[in-house]
Amino acid sequence: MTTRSGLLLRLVAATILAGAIAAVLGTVVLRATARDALRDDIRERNAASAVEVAARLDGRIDAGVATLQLVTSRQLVAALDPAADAELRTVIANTGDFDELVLYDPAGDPVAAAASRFVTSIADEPSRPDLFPAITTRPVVELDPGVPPTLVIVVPVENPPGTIAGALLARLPLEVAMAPALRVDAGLATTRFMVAADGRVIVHPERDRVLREERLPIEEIRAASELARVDIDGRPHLLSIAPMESLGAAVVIDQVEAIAFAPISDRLRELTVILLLVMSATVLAVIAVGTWLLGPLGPLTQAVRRLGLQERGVRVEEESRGEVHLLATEFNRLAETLDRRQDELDELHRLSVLVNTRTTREEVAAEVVAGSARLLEVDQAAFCSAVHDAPEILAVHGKVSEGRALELATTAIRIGRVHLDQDGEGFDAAVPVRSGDGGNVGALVMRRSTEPFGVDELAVAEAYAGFAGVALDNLARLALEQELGAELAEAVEQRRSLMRTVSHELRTPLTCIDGFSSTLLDQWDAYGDAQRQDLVTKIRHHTNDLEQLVNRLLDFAVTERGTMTADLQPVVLAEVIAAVLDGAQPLLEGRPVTVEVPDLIVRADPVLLQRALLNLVSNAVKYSAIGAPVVLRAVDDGRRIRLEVIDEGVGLTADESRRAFQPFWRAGHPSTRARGAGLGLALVSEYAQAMGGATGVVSEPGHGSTFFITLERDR
Amino acid sequence: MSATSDGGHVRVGALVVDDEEDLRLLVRLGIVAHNQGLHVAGEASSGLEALEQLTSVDPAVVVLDQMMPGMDGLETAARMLELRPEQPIVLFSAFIDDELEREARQAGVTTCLRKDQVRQLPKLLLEIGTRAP
Repeated sequence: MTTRSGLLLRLVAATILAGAIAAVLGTVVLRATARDALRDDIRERNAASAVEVAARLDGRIDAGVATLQLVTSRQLVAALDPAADAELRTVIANTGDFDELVLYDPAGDPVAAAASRFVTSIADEPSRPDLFPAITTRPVVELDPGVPPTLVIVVPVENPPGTIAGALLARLPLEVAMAPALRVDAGLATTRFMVAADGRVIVHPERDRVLREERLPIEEIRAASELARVDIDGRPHLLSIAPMESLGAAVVIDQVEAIAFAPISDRLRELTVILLLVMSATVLAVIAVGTWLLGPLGPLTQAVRRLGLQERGVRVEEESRGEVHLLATEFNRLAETLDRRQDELDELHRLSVLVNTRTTREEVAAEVVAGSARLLEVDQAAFCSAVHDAPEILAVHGKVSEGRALELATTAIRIGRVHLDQDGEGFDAAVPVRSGDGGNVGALVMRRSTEPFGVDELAVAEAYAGFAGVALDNLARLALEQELGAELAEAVEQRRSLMRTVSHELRTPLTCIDGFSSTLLDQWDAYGDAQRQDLVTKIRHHTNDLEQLVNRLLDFAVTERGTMTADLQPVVLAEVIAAVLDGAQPLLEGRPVTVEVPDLIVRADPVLLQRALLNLVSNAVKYSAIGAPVVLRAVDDGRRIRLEVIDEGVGLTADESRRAFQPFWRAGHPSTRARGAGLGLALVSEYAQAMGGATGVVSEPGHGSTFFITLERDR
Repeated sequence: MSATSDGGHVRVGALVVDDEEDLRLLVRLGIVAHNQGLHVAGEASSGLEALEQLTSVDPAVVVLDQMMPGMDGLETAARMLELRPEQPIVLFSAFIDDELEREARQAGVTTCLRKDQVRQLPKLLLEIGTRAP
C-alpha cells in the first residue's frame, strides 16, 4: 500500500507544482500584457480625450477659469505667452537639455489667458518660494494634430507635488500660463492641483500627499475615484470635480490607469481563486484517476509479495482493464509457471532423497519409473539397466512393450543422449542414465499417446536419470564396500582360525610329549615297565604327529615362496599306490579299500606324487565315518591320467568345493571340524602344479567326494 | 555340590572332557599325582557325552576342552550351566585369545587355562572345586 499511495502522492504533488508554475507564469504574462496594453492605450488617447473632456467641462466651468487638460501621465502641459518666449527659452536652455522648443500660441486662447493670470498670482504666492529646487525639462513633444503646440515641462515625481507650482513660478518669473491642474503620477495614485478662478493655486486639501509614500491602500484610492466616473469613448475616466464654486475651479483628473489597474487586481484575485479551484479540482481528479489506475495494482503488489515468499497458488483477479488486465494475466501466467517449477523441484527433491534410500537397483528403478510417470504424465515407462552389456528391464510402469523399450534404451545408451521416437500411436523418449565415471549404465524409457515430450519435460527426465545414475553408483560402491568388508572380516577370521588351528595342532602333541615325559620322570619308580613303555610310545606317536605337521608347514612355506621344484620322471603308478597304501595302513584299518589302477606310467615326481596321494587318502578317512570304504582309481583319457580318491563321507557344497584347495581352509563349522591345519589339500594342489598337473573335486553334501589329480602320461 | 569333606580331607571330583584320549590321560595322571583330595570323577570324549554324564557324575569342577568335533567347549559349557547353573567349569584350550576369553565369560565359564599350563591344572581345580558355595 505504501508504494501505491506514494505514487499517488507524487502524482498529486507534480500536478500542484505544474499548476502553480502555470498560474505564476500566467499572472505575470497577463499582467504585463494588460499593463502594456493599458499604457499604450492611455498614451494614444489621453491627449484627445483630455481635450475633449476639458471642452465638455468648459461650459460648466466658470468662464474665468482656464482649464487645461493633462495630456499624459508624466507630462505637464503649459501654454506660454509669446512675449515671454525669449526669456523662457533662455530659462529652459539654462536649466536643461532642450533641443527644441515649440511654443503654444495663446492668442485668443482662454487657456493662455488663464495661464497668464495664474502665473501672476503664483508670483505673489509667498508661502512657497523655495519648494521647487529643480526643474527638469524635457523636449517638447508634438501632440495630437488637434492639440495646439504646447510646452511640456516634466516634473520629477520625487518632488513633492504640492510644491511644484510655487517652485515653478518662483523660478519662472514670466507671464507663463501654467496649466490649471498638475497631475503627477505616483504609481497608482494621482495628486491633484487646482487653479482657482482668481488664479491662486489650490492644492487639494485631502490629496496633498504622495500616495506612494503614504502607501495608501488601493481601496482608498478607489473610494476616491468613485467621485465621478464617466465613459469617454467607451473607456472609464474618473473625474474628480470638486464642488468648488467658491474657488471657481474644477479639476479634471484622469485616473484611467488607476481604474484599469484595479480590475486587474481584482482579476488577479479572481484568477487566484480560480486557480486554486482549478488546482483543487485537478488534485481531486488526479487522486481519482490515480486510484482508478493504481487500484488494481494493490492486489497485484500483494500477490507479488506472496509470490516472493514462495507461497503456492497465488493468483490475481484478471480485471477487464487494458494494461492492468495484461499485467494480471502475465502475472498469473508467471505464478503458474513458478508453481509448476516448484512442484517439479519438490518432486525431484523428493525423488532424489527417495532414490538414495533404496537398497537395490530394482527399487531405485521402480522409484524413478513411478516418479517420471507421476510428474511427466506418461502412459508407460521402463527403467533399463545396461551394466551387463545387453540392457535388461528393471522396472516398468504401465503396459510396456519390452522389445521396443529395450530397443529405444539401447539407442539412447549408444548415442549417449536423449533419443526421441514416435509411431502412429504415441511418442517415445529414452533418456540415458549416466554413472559417475561418465559411462551410460542404463536408460529411462517413456511413452505417451497425448503429445510429444517437451524440452522442459526432457530436462526433468534427465534430472531423474541423473538421480538414478548417482543412486546406482552409490549402490555399486556400497556393494563393493560390503564385499571388501566381508573379505576383510573373512581374512581376519581366517587368520584367527589359522592361529587357533596351528596352536591346537602344535600344542596337543607338545602338551602330551611334555606332560608324559614329566610324568615319567616324576613317577618312574612308581610305574611298572608296561606303563612306562606305554607312555614312551605315546610320546613317540605325538612326536611323529608334530614332525608331520612341521613338515607340512615347511612344505607349504616352500610352495608359498614358489620355490618348489619337481623331479619329473616316468613313474609306475602301481608302485606309488602301493607305497601310499602302505604308509596309510594305520589310517585305513578297518575300512574296505578298493584300488582300480591299471598298469600305467605317468610323468611325475615320485616323492611329491606319493605325498599328494597320501594327503588325499588321509583326507578321505578324516571326513568319512569309521569303517566307510575308500576307493583309489586311475582313469586314462588317452592323453592325461586322472588319479581319483573316492570317499563316502560328508561331502562338500559347491562353495566348499570351490574353496577346498585354498590353504588353511577346512570343511565344516570351526567347532565341529576335524583336526588339521587346513594345509593338506592346498599342498596336494601345489604338488600337482609342480608336476605340471592339476587338482579338482566332485562332491555333493551327504554323498561323499571324489578328489583327483590329473597328470601327463609318460610317452 | 560335590566338594565333600571326608575325615578332614576335602574330596573334589573332576569331570574331564576332551576328544583327545591322550590329553584326558595326561590330565588324569596329573590329578592322580597331585592327590590332596582331587580325583577324576568321570571322563567324556565329546560335549554330548559330558552332558549325559553330568548329573550322575556330579563333579565339583569340569575340565572342558574347547576344540572338539560336534559340540565345542563353549556350547557344552552353556548347556551344562542350563542344567547346573552353579557348575564351576575350567575351559582348557590349546589356544586362548581375548575374544575366546570374552565368549567364555559370557557363556558362564569360571576360568580359562591354556593347555601348555597343564601342570597348574590340578591346583586350579582344587581351588575352584573347594571354593564352590
